[in-house]
Amino acid sequence: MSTAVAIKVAGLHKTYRSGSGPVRALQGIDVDIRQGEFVSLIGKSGCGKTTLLQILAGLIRPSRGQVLLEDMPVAKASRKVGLVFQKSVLLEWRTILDNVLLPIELFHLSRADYVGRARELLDMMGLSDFEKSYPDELSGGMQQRAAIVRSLLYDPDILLMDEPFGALDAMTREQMNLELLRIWQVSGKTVVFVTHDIAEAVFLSDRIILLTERPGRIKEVVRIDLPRPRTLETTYLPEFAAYRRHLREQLG
Amino acid sequence: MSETAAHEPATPATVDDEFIEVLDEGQDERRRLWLELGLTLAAVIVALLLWDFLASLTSPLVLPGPRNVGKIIWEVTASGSIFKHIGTTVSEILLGFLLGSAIGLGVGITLAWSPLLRRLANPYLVASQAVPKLALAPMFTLWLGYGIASKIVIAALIAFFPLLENTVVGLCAVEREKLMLFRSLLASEFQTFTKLRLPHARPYIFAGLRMAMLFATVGAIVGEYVGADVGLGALIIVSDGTLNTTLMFGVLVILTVVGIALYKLVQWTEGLFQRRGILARARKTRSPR
Repeated sequence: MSTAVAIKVAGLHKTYRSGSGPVRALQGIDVDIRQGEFVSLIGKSGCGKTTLLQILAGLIRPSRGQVLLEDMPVAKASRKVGLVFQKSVLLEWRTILDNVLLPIELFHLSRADYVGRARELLDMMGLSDFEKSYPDELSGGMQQRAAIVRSLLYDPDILLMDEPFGALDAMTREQMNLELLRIWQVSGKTVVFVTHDIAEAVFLSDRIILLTERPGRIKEVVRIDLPRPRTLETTYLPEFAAYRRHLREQLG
Repeated sequence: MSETAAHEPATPATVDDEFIEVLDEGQDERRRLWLELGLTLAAVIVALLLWDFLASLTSPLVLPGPRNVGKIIWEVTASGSIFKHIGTTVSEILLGFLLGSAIGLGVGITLAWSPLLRRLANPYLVASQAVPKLALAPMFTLWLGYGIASKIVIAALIAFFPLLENTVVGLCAVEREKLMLFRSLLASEFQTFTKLRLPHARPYIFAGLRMAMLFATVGAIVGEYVGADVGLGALIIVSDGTLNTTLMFGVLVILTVVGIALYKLVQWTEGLFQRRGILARARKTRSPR
Protein backbone atom coordinates (compact mmCIF):
# COMPACT_ATOMS: atom_id res chain seq x y z
CA MET A 1 0.00 0.00 0.00
CA SER A 2 1.34 3.39 -0.98
CA THR A 3 1.82 6.07 1.64
CA ALA A 4 0.80 8.95 -0.66
CA VAL A 5 -2.23 10.84 0.54
CA ALA A 6 -5.24 10.55 -1.78
CA ILE A 7 -7.68 12.63 0.24
CA LYS A 8 -6.73 15.28 2.76
CA VAL A 9 -9.43 16.90 4.83
CA ALA A 10 -8.37 19.83 7.02
CA GLY A 11 -10.42 21.86 9.48
CA LEU A 12 -13.68 21.09 7.74
CA HIS A 13 -16.89 22.68 9.01
CA LYS A 14 -20.32 22.61 7.46
CA THR A 15 -23.31 24.59 8.65
CA TYR A 16 -26.64 24.43 6.86
CA ARG A 17 -29.17 27.18 6.87
CA SER A 18 -32.61 25.87 7.69
CA GLY A 19 -36.02 27.25 8.60
CA SER A 20 -35.33 26.86 12.30
CA GLY A 21 -31.90 28.49 12.21
CA PRO A 22 -28.45 27.21 11.28
CA VAL A 23 -27.78 23.49 11.61
CA ARG A 24 -24.21 22.46 12.31
CA ALA A 25 -23.65 19.28 10.33
CA LEU A 26 -19.88 18.86 10.59
CA GLN A 27 -17.40 20.38 12.98
CA GLY A 28 -13.63 20.34 12.69
CA ILE A 29 -13.03 17.26 10.57
CA ASP A 30 -9.35 16.47 9.97
CA VAL A 31 -8.38 13.27 8.25
CA ASP A 32 -5.86 11.94 5.74
CA ILE A 33 -6.77 8.96 3.56
CA ARG A 34 -3.92 7.16 1.85
CA GLN A 35 -3.94 6.02 -1.74
CA GLY A 36 -5.46 2.57 -2.02
CA GLU A 37 -6.90 2.69 1.46
CA PHE A 38 -10.39 1.45 2.32
CA VAL A 39 -11.94 3.77 4.87
CA SER A 40 -15.47 3.61 6.26
CA LEU A 41 -17.41 6.48 7.76
CA ILE A 42 -19.78 5.27 10.41
CA GLY A 43 -22.22 6.99 12.70
CA LYS A 44 -25.87 7.31 13.53
CA SER A 45 -28.23 8.68 10.91
CA GLY A 46 -28.03 12.44 10.77
CA CYS A 47 -24.41 12.56 11.92
CA GLY A 48 -23.30 14.18 8.68
CA LYS A 49 -21.54 11.22 7.08
CA THR A 50 -23.38 11.67 3.81
CA THR A 51 -22.68 15.41 3.95
CA LEU A 52 -18.97 14.66 4.37
CA LEU A 53 -19.03 12.29 1.43
CA GLN A 54 -20.80 14.85 -0.75
CA ILE A 55 -18.21 17.46 0.19
CA LEU A 56 -15.48 15.02 -0.85
CA ALA A 57 -17.36 14.50 -4.13
CA GLY A 58 -17.45 18.25 -4.71
CA LEU A 59 -21.24 18.33 -4.71
CA ILE A 60 -21.50 20.51 -1.58
CA ARG A 61 -19.17 23.31 -0.52
CA PRO A 62 -17.85 23.26 3.02
CA SER A 63 -18.50 26.31 5.22
CA ARG A 64 -14.91 26.29 6.35
CA GLY A 65 -11.83 24.14 5.82
CA GLN A 66 -10.34 22.42 2.85
CA VAL A 67 -10.44 19.15 0.97
CA LEU A 68 -7.54 18.11 -1.26
CA LEU A 69 -7.92 15.25 -3.72
CA GLU A 70 -4.44 14.19 -4.79
CA ASP A 71 -3.13 17.59 -3.67
CA MET A 72 -5.73 19.50 -5.69
CA PRO A 73 -8.39 21.52 -3.85
CA VAL A 74 -11.92 20.27 -4.54
CA ALA A 75 -14.03 22.96 -6.17
CA LYS A 76 -16.56 20.86 -8.06
CA ALA A 77 -17.15 17.28 -9.11
CA SER A 78 -14.23 15.52 -10.72
CA ARG A 79 -13.56 12.65 -13.08
CA LYS A 80 -11.12 11.31 -10.54
CA VAL A 81 -14.08 10.40 -8.35
CA GLY A 82 -16.68 7.71 -8.85
CA LEU A 83 -19.83 8.07 -6.79
CA VAL A 84 -22.18 5.25 -5.80
CA PHE A 85 -25.45 6.09 -4.09
CA GLN A 86 -27.71 4.10 -1.81
CA LYS A 87 -30.15 3.79 -4.70
CA SER A 88 -28.73 2.54 -7.97
CA VAL A 89 -30.02 5.69 -9.75
CA LEU A 90 -30.20 4.02 -13.14
CA LEU A 91 -32.14 5.76 -15.89
CA GLU A 92 -35.15 3.54 -16.51
CA TRP A 93 -35.42 4.43 -20.21
CA ARG A 94 -31.88 3.21 -20.94
CA THR A 95 -30.64 -0.35 -21.22
CA ILE A 96 -28.06 -1.52 -18.70
CA LEU A 97 -25.26 -1.07 -21.23
CA ASP A 98 -26.43 2.44 -22.08
CA ASN A 99 -26.74 3.26 -18.38
CA VAL A 100 -23.23 2.08 -17.71
CA LEU A 101 -21.93 4.18 -20.62
CA LEU A 102 -23.67 7.35 -19.40
CA PRO A 103 -20.51 8.90 -17.87
CA ILE A 104 -18.66 8.35 -21.15
CA GLU A 105 -21.37 10.24 -23.01
CA LEU A 106 -21.42 13.06 -20.49
CA PHE A 107 -17.63 13.35 -20.64
CA HIS A 108 -17.80 13.57 -24.46
CA LEU A 109 -15.60 10.50 -24.76
CA SER A 110 -15.91 8.02 -27.60
CA ARG A 111 -18.48 5.37 -26.81
CA ALA A 112 -16.74 2.87 -29.07
CA ASP A 113 -13.57 3.13 -26.97
CA TYR A 114 -15.40 2.08 -23.84
CA VAL A 115 -17.96 -0.50 -24.98
CA GLY A 116 -15.42 -3.28 -24.68
CA ARG A 117 -14.38 -2.28 -21.17
CA ALA A 118 -18.06 -1.89 -20.20
CA ARG A 119 -18.80 -5.43 -21.35
CA GLU A 120 -15.76 -6.70 -19.46
CA LEU A 121 -16.91 -5.06 -16.23
CA LEU A 122 -20.51 -6.21 -16.71
CA ASP A 123 -19.18 -9.71 -17.23
CA MET A 124 -17.08 -9.49 -14.07
CA MET A 125 -20.21 -8.46 -12.17
CA GLY A 126 -22.25 -11.31 -13.66
CA LEU A 127 -24.38 -8.98 -15.76
CA SER A 128 -23.23 -9.93 -19.25
CA ASP A 129 -26.60 -11.43 -20.13
CA PHE A 130 -28.39 -8.26 -19.09
CA GLU A 131 -26.72 -5.54 -21.10
CA LYS A 132 -29.83 -5.13 -23.25
CA SER A 133 -32.23 -5.35 -20.31
CA TYR A 134 -33.83 -2.35 -18.69
CA PRO A 135 -33.24 -1.55 -15.02
CA ASP A 136 -36.72 -2.62 -13.89
CA GLU A 137 -36.03 -6.12 -15.22
CA LEU A 138 -33.15 -6.57 -12.75
CA SER A 139 -33.17 -7.37 -9.04
CA GLY A 140 -32.00 -4.75 -6.55
CA GLY A 141 -28.58 -6.35 -6.19
CA MET A 142 -28.06 -6.49 -9.94
CA GLN A 143 -29.11 -2.87 -10.31
CA GLN A 144 -26.58 -1.84 -7.69
CA ARG A 145 -23.89 -3.86 -9.48
CA ALA A 146 -24.70 -2.00 -12.70
CA ALA A 147 -24.33 1.27 -10.76
CA ILE A 148 -20.92 0.15 -9.54
CA VAL A 149 -19.88 -0.74 -13.09
CA ARG A 150 -21.02 2.74 -14.15
CA SER A 151 -18.79 4.33 -11.51
CA LEU A 152 -15.80 2.13 -12.39
CA LEU A 153 -15.97 2.46 -16.17
CA TYR A 154 -14.07 5.75 -16.47
CA ASP A 155 -11.49 4.43 -14.00
CA PRO A 156 -11.61 7.02 -11.23
CA ASP A 157 -8.86 6.85 -8.59
CA ILE A 158 -11.29 7.37 -5.76
CA LEU A 159 -14.57 5.59 -5.14
CA LEU A 160 -17.05 7.29 -2.82
CA MET A 161 -19.88 5.01 -1.74
CA ASP A 162 -22.90 6.22 0.23
CA GLU A 163 -24.49 3.19 1.88
CA PRO A 164 -24.44 1.40 -1.47
CA PHE A 165 -25.77 -1.87 -0.11
CA GLY A 166 -28.13 -0.41 2.49
CA ALA A 167 -31.23 -1.35 0.54
CA LEU A 168 -30.21 -4.95 -0.19
CA ASP A 169 -31.14 -8.10 1.68
CA ALA A 170 -28.53 -9.67 3.95
CA MET A 171 -27.49 -12.46 1.58
CA THR A 172 -27.04 -10.20 -1.43
CA ARG A 173 -25.26 -7.69 0.73
CA GLU A 174 -22.70 -10.26 1.89
CA GLN A 175 -22.08 -11.21 -1.72
CA MET A 176 -21.68 -7.57 -2.74
CA ASN A 177 -19.20 -6.96 0.07
CA LEU A 178 -17.02 -9.80 -1.15
CA GLU A 179 -17.20 -8.58 -4.74
CA LEU A 180 -16.38 -5.04 -3.71
CA LEU A 181 -13.30 -6.21 -1.81
CA ARG A 182 -12.17 -8.21 -4.81
CA ILE A 183 -12.51 -5.23 -7.15
CA TRP A 184 -10.81 -2.96 -4.66
CA GLN A 185 -7.89 -5.33 -4.26
CA VAL A 186 -7.41 -5.72 -8.02
CA SER A 187 -7.81 -2.03 -8.87
CA GLY A 188 -5.95 -0.44 -5.96
CA LYS A 189 -8.54 2.34 -5.76
CA THR A 190 -9.06 4.48 -2.71
CA VAL A 191 -12.51 3.79 -1.26
CA VAL A 192 -14.51 5.91 1.18
CA PHE A 193 -17.53 3.92 2.26
CA VAL A 194 -20.43 5.33 4.27
CA THR A 195 -22.47 2.84 6.25
CA HIS A 196 -24.37 2.51 9.49
CA ASP A 197 -23.73 -1.21 9.62
CA ILE A 198 -20.88 -1.95 12.04
CA ALA A 199 -20.18 -5.50 10.82
CA GLU A 200 -20.02 -4.32 7.21
CA ALA A 201 -17.58 -1.56 8.12
CA VAL A 202 -15.32 -3.95 10.08
CA PHE A 203 -15.39 -6.53 7.33
CA LEU A 204 -14.42 -4.10 4.56
CA SER A 205 -12.19 -1.44 6.05
CA ASP A 206 -8.58 -0.67 6.79
CA ARG A 207 -9.77 2.12 9.04
CA ILE A 208 -13.13 3.14 10.41
CA ILE A 209 -13.89 6.76 11.19
CA LEU A 210 -16.53 7.09 13.86
CA LEU A 211 -18.59 10.28 13.77
CA THR A 212 -20.49 11.73 16.73
CA GLU A 213 -24.07 12.82 16.51
CA ARG A 214 -24.80 16.30 15.20
CA PRO A 215 -22.63 18.22 14.87
CA GLY A 216 -20.52 15.45 13.36
CA ARG A 217 -17.04 15.28 14.82
CA ILE A 218 -14.50 12.51 14.60
CA LYS A 219 -14.98 10.54 17.78
CA GLU A 220 -12.48 7.84 17.09
CA VAL A 221 -10.50 6.33 14.25
CA VAL A 222 -10.27 2.55 14.53
CA ARG A 223 -7.62 0.64 12.59
CA ILE A 224 -8.89 -2.80 11.58
CA ASP A 225 -5.95 -5.23 11.64
CA LEU A 226 -7.70 -8.24 10.20
CA PRO A 227 -5.82 -10.31 7.61
CA ARG A 228 -6.51 -9.84 3.92
CA PRO A 229 -7.92 -11.13 1.69
CA ARG A 230 -10.96 -11.29 3.89
CA THR A 231 -13.52 -14.03 3.47
CA LEU A 232 -16.66 -15.04 5.28
CA GLU A 233 -14.33 -16.93 7.67
CA THR A 234 -12.97 -13.55 8.77
CA THR A 235 -16.31 -12.75 10.35
CA TYR A 236 -15.95 -15.68 12.76
CA LEU A 237 -12.59 -14.52 14.15
CA PRO A 238 -12.65 -13.42 17.78
CA GLU A 239 -10.93 -10.15 16.76
CA PHE A 240 -13.81 -9.45 14.41
CA ALA A 241 -16.26 -9.77 17.26
CA ALA A 242 -14.04 -7.60 19.46
CA TYR A 243 -13.96 -4.79 16.89
CA ARG A 244 -17.71 -4.99 16.54
CA ARG A 245 -18.22 -4.85 20.26
CA HIS A 246 -15.86 -1.90 20.65
CA LEU A 247 -17.53 0.09 17.87
CA ARG A 248 -20.99 -0.76 19.13
CA GLU A 249 -20.07 0.60 22.56
CA GLN A 250 -18.51 3.73 21.09
CA LEU A 251 -21.59 4.43 18.96
CA GLY A 252 -23.69 4.33 22.11
CA MET B 1 -20.11 -15.50 -10.99
CA SER B 2 -22.57 -18.31 -11.51
CA GLU B 3 -22.99 -18.78 -7.80
CA THR B 4 -23.97 -15.13 -7.54
CA ALA B 5 -26.80 -15.66 -9.94
CA ALA B 6 -28.03 -18.43 -7.70
CA HIS B 7 -28.26 -16.01 -4.79
CA GLU B 8 -30.32 -13.57 -6.77
CA PRO B 9 -34.08 -13.83 -6.62
CA ALA B 10 -35.13 -15.07 -10.03
CA THR B 11 -36.47 -12.32 -12.23
CA PRO B 12 -38.46 -12.87 -15.40
CA ALA B 13 -35.53 -11.29 -17.24
CA THR B 14 -33.31 -14.26 -16.47
CA VAL B 15 -35.16 -16.16 -19.18
CA ASP B 16 -34.13 -15.89 -22.80
CA ASP B 17 -35.24 -12.70 -24.55
CA GLU B 18 -37.09 -14.55 -27.28
CA PHE B 19 -38.94 -16.56 -24.70
CA ILE B 20 -40.26 -13.43 -23.03
CA GLU B 21 -41.44 -12.17 -26.38
CA VAL B 22 -43.39 -15.38 -26.89
CA LEU B 23 -44.91 -15.22 -23.42
CA ASP B 24 -45.89 -11.57 -23.63
CA GLU B 25 -47.13 -11.26 -27.18
CA GLY B 26 -48.20 -14.85 -27.60
CA GLN B 27 -51.29 -16.83 -26.86
CA ASP B 28 -52.33 -15.21 -23.57
CA GLU B 29 -52.19 -11.79 -25.13
CA ARG B 30 -54.12 -12.89 -28.20
CA ARG B 31 -56.83 -14.56 -26.14
CA ARG B 32 -57.20 -11.42 -24.05
CA LEU B 33 -57.51 -9.26 -27.18
CA TRP B 34 -60.23 -11.49 -28.65
CA LEU B 35 -62.13 -11.40 -25.39
CA GLU B 36 -61.93 -7.61 -25.25
CA LEU B 37 -63.04 -7.34 -28.86
CA GLY B 38 -65.99 -9.64 -28.23
CA LEU B 39 -67.11 -7.71 -25.17
CA THR B 40 -66.78 -4.39 -27.00
CA LEU B 41 -68.90 -5.68 -29.91
CA ALA B 42 -71.51 -7.04 -27.53
CA ALA B 43 -71.75 -3.69 -25.75
CA VAL B 44 -72.17 -1.88 -29.08
CA ILE B 45 -74.95 -4.26 -30.16
CA VAL B 46 -76.80 -3.86 -26.86
CA ALA B 47 -76.51 -0.08 -27.08
CA LEU B 48 -77.82 -0.07 -30.66
CA LEU B 49 -80.79 -2.29 -29.76
CA LEU B 50 -81.64 -0.05 -26.82
CA TRP B 51 -81.35 3.03 -29.02
CA ASP B 52 -83.60 1.42 -31.66
CA PHE B 53 -86.19 0.58 -29.04
CA LEU B 54 -86.21 4.07 -27.52
CA ALA B 55 -86.41 5.65 -30.99
CA SER B 56 -89.47 3.56 -31.83
CA LEU B 57 -91.28 5.16 -28.87
CA THR B 58 -90.75 8.76 -30.05
CA SER B 59 -90.82 10.92 -33.15
CA PRO B 60 -87.74 10.78 -35.43
CA LEU B 61 -87.56 14.56 -34.97
CA VAL B 62 -86.65 13.99 -31.33
CA LEU B 63 -84.69 10.76 -31.53
CA PRO B 64 -83.97 9.23 -34.93
CA GLY B 65 -83.35 5.48 -34.88
CA PRO B 66 -79.96 3.91 -35.60
CA ARG B 67 -81.10 2.54 -38.94
CA ASN B 68 -82.09 5.99 -40.22
CA VAL B 69 -78.88 7.49 -38.91
CA GLY B 70 -76.89 4.73 -40.59
CA LYS B 71 -78.74 5.37 -43.82
CA ILE B 72 -77.98 9.08 -43.82
CA ILE B 73 -74.30 8.44 -43.04
CA TRP B 74 -74.22 6.12 -46.04
CA GLU B 75 -75.94 8.75 -48.24
CA VAL B 76 -73.61 11.62 -47.38
CA THR B 77 -70.59 9.34 -47.74
CA ALA B 78 -71.73 7.87 -51.06
CA SER B 79 -72.51 11.32 -52.49
CA GLY B 80 -69.17 12.57 -51.17
CA SER B 81 -70.80 15.71 -49.77
CA ILE B 82 -69.52 14.99 -46.26
CA PHE B 83 -65.84 14.93 -47.13
CA LYS B 84 -65.30 18.67 -47.50
CA HIS B 85 -66.81 19.10 -44.03
CA ILE B 86 -64.63 16.38 -42.54
CA GLY B 87 -61.59 17.81 -44.33
CA THR B 88 -62.21 21.31 -43.02
CA THR B 89 -62.84 20.23 -39.45
CA VAL B 90 -59.88 17.84 -39.35
CA SER B 91 -57.62 20.59 -40.74
CA GLU B 92 -58.83 22.98 -38.05
CA ILE B 93 -58.28 20.39 -35.33
CA LEU B 94 -54.83 19.35 -36.54
CA LEU B 95 -53.57 22.88 -37.13
CA GLY B 96 -55.03 24.01 -33.81
CA PHE B 97 -53.42 21.02 -32.13
CA LEU B 98 -50.05 21.74 -33.73
CA LEU B 99 -50.17 25.43 -32.85
CA GLY B 100 -51.37 24.73 -29.31
CA SER B 101 -48.77 21.99 -28.81
CA ALA B 102 -45.96 24.19 -30.05
CA ILE B 103 -47.01 26.92 -27.62
CA GLY B 104 -47.55 24.45 -24.77
CA LEU B 105 -44.21 22.72 -25.27
CA GLY B 106 -42.27 25.92 -25.90
CA VAL B 107 -43.68 27.82 -22.96
CA GLY B 108 -43.51 24.68 -20.79
CA ILE B 109 -39.81 24.18 -21.50
CA THR B 110 -39.09 27.88 -20.91
CA LEU B 111 -40.93 27.88 -17.60
CA ALA B 112 -39.30 24.65 -16.48
CA TRP B 113 -35.94 26.27 -17.16
CA SER B 114 -36.50 29.27 -14.93
CA PRO B 115 -38.22 29.19 -11.54
CA LEU B 116 -38.36 33.00 -11.62
CA LEU B 117 -40.27 33.06 -14.90
CA ARG B 118 -42.52 30.34 -13.51
CA ARG B 119 -43.48 32.49 -10.54
CA LEU B 120 -43.96 35.59 -12.71
CA ALA B 121 -46.04 33.82 -15.34
CA ASN B 122 -48.17 31.76 -13.00
CA PRO B 123 -50.93 34.33 -12.25
CA TYR B 124 -51.38 35.04 -15.96
CA LEU B 125 -51.53 31.37 -16.80
CA VAL B 126 -54.11 30.74 -14.11
CA ALA B 127 -56.12 33.76 -15.28
CA SER B 128 -55.96 32.53 -18.88
CA GLN B 129 -57.46 29.26 -17.72
CA ALA B 130 -60.02 30.83 -15.39
CA VAL B 131 -61.54 32.76 -18.31
CA PRO B 132 -64.13 30.52 -19.95
CA LYS B 133 -62.25 30.36 -23.24
CA LEU B 134 -65.16 29.04 -25.24
CA ALA B 135 -66.98 32.24 -24.34
CA LEU B 136 -64.23 34.06 -26.23
CA ALA B 137 -65.07 32.21 -29.43
CA PRO B 138 -67.33 34.97 -30.83
CA MET B 139 -64.52 37.47 -30.31
CA PHE B 140 -62.07 35.44 -32.37
CA THR B 141 -64.68 35.00 -35.08
CA LEU B 142 -65.11 38.78 -35.06
CA TRP B 143 -61.36 39.35 -35.35
CA LEU B 144 -60.37 36.55 -37.69
CA GLY B 145 -63.54 36.05 -39.71
CA TYR B 146 -65.65 33.03 -40.58
CA GLY B 147 -62.80 31.11 -42.14
CA ILE B 148 -60.55 28.43 -40.77
CA ALA B 149 -58.21 30.82 -38.89
CA SER B 150 -60.56 31.67 -36.04
CA LYS B 151 -61.21 27.95 -35.40
CA ILE B 152 -57.52 27.14 -35.36
CA VAL B 153 -56.86 29.86 -32.79
CA ILE B 154 -59.73 28.76 -30.55
CA ALA B 155 -58.61 25.12 -30.78
CA ALA B 156 -55.01 26.09 -30.01
CA LEU B 157 -56.03 28.30 -27.13
CA ILE B 158 -57.73 25.53 -25.21
CA ALA B 159 -55.30 22.81 -26.32
CA PHE B 160 -52.06 24.37 -25.08
CA PHE B 161 -52.66 24.48 -21.35
CA PRO B 162 -52.77 20.80 -20.36
CA LEU B 163 -49.63 20.21 -22.38
CA LEU B 164 -47.88 23.20 -20.83
CA GLU B 165 -48.67 22.05 -17.32
CA ASN B 166 -47.61 18.45 -18.02
CA THR B 167 -44.39 19.60 -19.66
CA VAL B 168 -43.43 21.71 -16.65
CA VAL B 169 -44.25 18.93 -14.20
CA GLY B 170 -42.43 16.28 -16.25
CA LEU B 171 -39.30 18.37 -16.63
CA CYS B 172 -39.17 19.48 -13.00
CA ALA B 173 -40.19 16.29 -11.21
CA VAL B 174 -36.85 14.52 -11.80
CA GLU B 175 -35.59 12.73 -8.68
CA ARG B 176 -32.95 14.53 -6.66
CA GLU B 177 -30.55 11.58 -6.82
CA LYS B 178 -30.57 11.59 -10.60
CA LEU B 179 -29.80 15.29 -10.70
CA MET B 180 -27.01 14.66 -8.22
CA LEU B 181 -25.64 11.84 -10.37
CA PHE B 182 -25.56 14.16 -13.37
CA ARG B 183 -23.85 16.84 -11.33
CA SER B 184 -21.26 14.36 -10.07
CA LEU B 185 -20.61 13.41 -13.70
CA LEU B 186 -20.01 17.07 -14.61
CA ALA B 187 -23.03 17.20 -16.93
CA SER B 188 -23.76 20.55 -18.56
CA GLU B 189 -27.21 22.15 -18.29
CA PHE B 190 -27.85 21.11 -21.87
CA GLN B 191 -26.83 17.49 -21.23
CA THR B 192 -28.99 17.38 -18.11
CA PHE B 193 -31.88 18.63 -20.21
CA THR B 194 -31.52 16.31 -23.20
CA LYS B 195 -30.34 13.18 -21.39
CA LEU B 196 -32.29 13.43 -18.15
CA ARG B 197 -35.15 15.92 -18.00
CA LEU B 198 -36.57 15.41 -21.47
CA PRO B 199 -36.66 11.59 -21.43
CA HIS B 200 -38.10 11.76 -17.94
CA ALA B 201 -40.83 14.14 -19.13
CA ARG B 202 -41.73 12.11 -22.21
CA PRO B 203 -44.70 10.20 -20.72
CA TYR B 204 -46.00 13.43 -19.18
CA ILE B 205 -45.69 15.24 -22.48
CA PHE B 206 -47.56 12.54 -24.37
CA ALA B 207 -50.35 12.55 -21.79
CA GLY B 208 -50.55 16.31 -22.40
CA LEU B 209 -50.59 15.78 -26.16
CA ARG B 210 -53.50 13.36 -25.91
CA MET B 211 -55.46 15.92 -23.88
CA ALA B 212 -54.47 18.65 -26.35
CA MET B 213 -55.92 16.64 -29.24
CA LEU B 214 -59.24 16.15 -27.46
CA PHE B 215 -59.38 19.81 -26.47
CA ALA B 216 -58.53 20.94 -29.99
CA THR B 217 -61.49 18.92 -31.28
CA VAL B 218 -63.83 20.68 -28.88
CA GLY B 219 -62.33 24.06 -29.79
CA ALA B 220 -62.73 23.56 -33.54
CA ILE B 221 -66.37 22.47 -33.23
CA VAL B 222 -67.31 25.32 -30.93
CA GLY B 223 -65.60 27.74 -33.32
CA GLU B 224 -67.75 26.37 -36.10
CA TYR B 225 -70.90 26.71 -33.99
CA VAL B 226 -70.23 30.42 -33.65
CA GLY B 227 -69.93 30.98 -37.35
CA ALA B 228 -68.83 28.87 -40.30
CA ASP B 229 -70.02 27.73 -43.70
CA VAL B 230 -68.22 24.40 -43.83
CA GLY B 231 -67.20 21.86 -41.23
CA LEU B 232 -68.92 19.22 -39.17
CA GLY B 233 -69.87 21.78 -36.48
CA ALA B 234 -71.39 24.02 -39.12
CA LEU B 235 -73.30 21.03 -40.47
CA ILE B 236 -74.73 20.33 -37.01
CA ILE B 237 -75.96 23.94 -36.77
CA VAL B 238 -77.53 23.72 -40.25
CA SER B 239 -79.28 20.43 -39.53
CA ASP B 240 -80.55 21.92 -36.26
CA GLY B 241 -81.98 24.90 -38.15
CA THR B 242 -83.71 22.67 -40.69
CA LEU B 243 -84.99 20.26 -38.04
CA ASN B 244 -82.99 17.47 -39.69
CA THR B 245 -82.29 15.60 -36.47
CA THR B 246 -81.25 12.48 -38.35
CA LEU B 247 -78.46 14.34 -40.14
CA MET B 248 -77.38 15.88 -36.83
CA PHE B 249 -77.02 12.44 -35.30
CA GLY B 250 -75.17 11.21 -38.36
CA VAL B 251 -72.67 14.06 -38.09
CA LEU B 252 -72.23 13.39 -34.37
CA VAL B 253 -71.35 9.77 -35.13
CA ILE B 254 -68.85 10.85 -37.80
CA LEU B 255 -67.39 13.42 -35.42
CA THR B 256 -66.92 10.76 -32.75
CA VAL B 257 -65.11 8.50 -35.20
CA VAL B 258 -62.88 11.41 -36.28
CA GLY B 259 -62.14 12.25 -32.64
CA ILE B 260 -61.19 8.67 -31.81
CA ALA B 261 -58.99 8.44 -34.91
CA LEU B 262 -57.10 11.59 -33.98
CA TYR B 263 -56.63 10.45 -30.39
CA LYS B 264 -55.31 7.11 -31.62
CA LEU B 265 -52.93 8.97 -33.91
CA VAL B 266 -51.28 10.57 -30.87
CA GLN B 267 -51.20 7.22 -29.08
CA TRP B 268 -49.60 5.58 -32.07
CA THR B 269 -46.96 8.30 -32.25
CA GLU B 270 -46.20 7.76 -28.58
CA GLY B 271 -45.72 4.05 -29.29
CA LEU B 272 -42.97 4.94 -31.74
CA PHE B 273 -41.05 6.67 -28.98
CA GLN B 274 -41.46 3.97 -26.37
CA ARG B 275 -38.35 2.11 -25.37
CA ARG B 276 -39.36 -1.05 -27.18
CA GLY B 277 -40.90 0.95 -30.00
CA ILE B 278 -39.71 1.11 -33.56
CA LEU B 279 -37.53 4.17 -33.03
CA ALA B 280 -35.78 2.66 -30.02
CA ARG B 281 -35.15 -0.53 -31.95
CA ALA B 282 -33.76 1.35 -34.90
CA ARG B 283 -31.47 3.24 -32.56
CA LYS B 284 -30.27 0.07 -30.94
CA THR B 285 -29.41 -1.74 -34.16
CA ARG B 286 -27.35 1.25 -35.21
CA SER B 287 -25.27 1.23 -32.02
CA PRO B 288 -21.95 -0.60 -32.25
CA ARG B 289 -22.06 -4.28 -31.46
